[in-house]
Amino acid sequence: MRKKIIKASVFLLILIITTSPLYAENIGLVDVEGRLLNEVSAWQSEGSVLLDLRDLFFSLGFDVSWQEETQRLEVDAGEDEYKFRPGKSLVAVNGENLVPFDPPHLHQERLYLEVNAVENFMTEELGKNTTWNPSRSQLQLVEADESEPVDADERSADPVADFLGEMDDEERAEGELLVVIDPGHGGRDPGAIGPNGLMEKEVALDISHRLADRIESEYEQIETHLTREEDVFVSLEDRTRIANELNADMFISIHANGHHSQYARGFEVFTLSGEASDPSAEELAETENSVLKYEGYDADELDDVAWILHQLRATVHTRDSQDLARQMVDLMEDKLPVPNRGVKQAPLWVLKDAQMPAVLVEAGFLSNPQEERRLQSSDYQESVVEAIAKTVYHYLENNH
Amino acid sequence: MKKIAIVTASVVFLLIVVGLVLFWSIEPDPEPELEPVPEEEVTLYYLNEREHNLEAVQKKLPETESRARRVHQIVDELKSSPDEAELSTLLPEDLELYSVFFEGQTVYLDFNDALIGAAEGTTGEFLFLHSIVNSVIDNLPEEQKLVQFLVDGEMRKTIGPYGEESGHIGVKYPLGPEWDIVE
Repeated sequence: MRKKIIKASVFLLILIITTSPLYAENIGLVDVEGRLLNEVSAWQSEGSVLLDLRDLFFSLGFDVSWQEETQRLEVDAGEDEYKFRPGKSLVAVNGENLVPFDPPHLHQERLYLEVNAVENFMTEELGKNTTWNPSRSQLQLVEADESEPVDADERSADPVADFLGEMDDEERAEGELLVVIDPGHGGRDPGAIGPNGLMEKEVALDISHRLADRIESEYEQIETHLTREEDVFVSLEDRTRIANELNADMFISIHANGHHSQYARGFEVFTLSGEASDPSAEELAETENSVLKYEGYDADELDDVAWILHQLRATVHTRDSQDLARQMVDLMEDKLPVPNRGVKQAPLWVLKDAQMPAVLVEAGFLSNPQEERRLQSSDYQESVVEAIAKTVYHYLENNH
Repeated sequence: MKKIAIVTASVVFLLIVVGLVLFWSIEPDPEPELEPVPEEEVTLYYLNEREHNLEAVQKKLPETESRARRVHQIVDELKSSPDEAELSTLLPEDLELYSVFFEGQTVYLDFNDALIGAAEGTTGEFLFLHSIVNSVIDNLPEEQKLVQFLVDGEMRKTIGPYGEESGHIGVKYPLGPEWDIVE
C-alpha cells in the first residue's frame, strides 16, 4: 500500500512540478487511411504526451486487464502476452522473456507511457509502424513497408538521417579508416561557460574542425566525420548512433572541463567506466532477479547468449579505449604546457553506446580564467589537435 | 497570661524566621537534566579546494536506527562547509532531498530540481555526484552499494541544465562509490 502511495505521489509530482501546463486530452488512434479507430485518453503538456496503455491496447483489439493485486497491466495480443508494471522498465513477454523498456507511470489504476516509447514498443514488439502527429494529436498506423508518413512535411528533421544521406555520396574506399569526431554540446546547450564568457560548445567545435582538417590533410587513409558541423543541438545518443551506423573505427568526443574550484587545471582523457558500459544490462541485473522470482523463474537458469556476447564486446572496447586514452595523454603531455591529469573512467552518457574504441577528451578547464584564455587561443588548440591527430594515426596504424 | 501570649508569639515568630531562612537557603530542585542525544561518527566527503579532489571528514550525527533518517542527516550535514578553510561543500544551498527509499542494493535519492545544473563539466559533475554517493554508501550497511538519483521522482539521463542530454555523467542508472577521487 505504501509503495502504491509513493508511486501515485511520484506521478503527481511529475504532473505538478516537471510539466506544469499539463492537461488531460484524448488523442486519436487512426488507421492507415486516416480513419479514426478510437480515442485514447492521454495526459499532454508541451512536448510530452503520455498515453493510457489500457485504452490504447483495447483500441487495437487486444484483451486488456489491470491486476490490482499484482499491480500489472496484462495485455493479451493474440500470439504474445505482455505484462507492464508501473515504474518498471521491463515488460514480461509470455512470462519469460524480458525486454528493456521505458517505465510506465501509474495514475488512478491506469498506466501511462510516453508516446515515443509507445511507438517503439508498437514497432519492435507488435510489428506495427506508427506516426505521431502532434499538431492533430493523432497516432496513425502506417503500412509496415511504408517508411514515409502521410504528412511527410510535418515530420521533424532527423540529423542522423541527414548525415547518413550525405555519407552515401562519398563511398569509403577500400582500407580507408573512419574517425568520428564529436564536438560536445551545441545549439541550446552551451556546456560549461568560462568566467569571461567562453562557451564549451565553441571551443569543442573549433578544436574538432581543426582536428578533422589536420587528420585529413596529413593522413591520406583516414577519413573524418563530425557529429555536428555548426552550432546545433545533437542528442547524446545520436552522436554514437552516427558513429555506429557509419561503422567508424574510432569515436572522439571533444570537451572543455568545469570545476567548482577555479584553480583546477590540466587536461584529461575519459573512457567509459564498467558500471555504465551497458546500462540496460546494468538495469537488467538490478531488477531481473526480483522480476524473475515474481514470475516463478530462477535467475541463475537464465541463459542468454546475446547478453554474454554483448558483455564480451563491451569488454574488448573498454580495453581498446583505455589503450587509446593512455597513448593520447602521453602525447598531450609532450605538447601542452598544463598538467596531465591522466586517464579517468566515468559513466559518460555520450560514450555508452559506442561500438568502437571511444574516448572523451577534456582539453582544459574553462572554469579556470587562465586556461579559459588558453582554450581560446589557436596556439593551444593546435597543440591539442597535433597530439590527438598523432595518437589517432599511431593507434589506427597499429590496430588495423 | 500576657507572658504566655508573648512567649507564644516569640516562638511563632522564631519558627517563621527559621522557616524562612531554611526555605531560602535550600537550593531549588535543579531542572531535570535532558538526556544527551547519543551521537555516532560518520565519514563525509567534501571538496578539497587545494587538491581539487574529495576529502574524507569525520563528523558526528545524532544516532538513529533508520537508514532513511541517516541519509537525510548526511545530505543535510553535507550542505554546510566544514571548518577547515580548504574544505568546502559541493552541494547547492537549495538542494532538497525529498525522499529516500531502498530496493535491493540500491538507495534511491529523490531530490528537488536544484540537482539539475548543480555542477559543470565532466570533472565538476563527477565530484559533485560522488560527494553524495560516497558519503551515503560509506555510512550505510554493506548491502547498500549503489545510489540512484531521481529529480522530482523521475530518472534523468544527466544533470545537465539545458535538457537532460546536456550533461556528461549518466545518472539514469545507479552509481557506485568512487574512492580514486578521494585524497
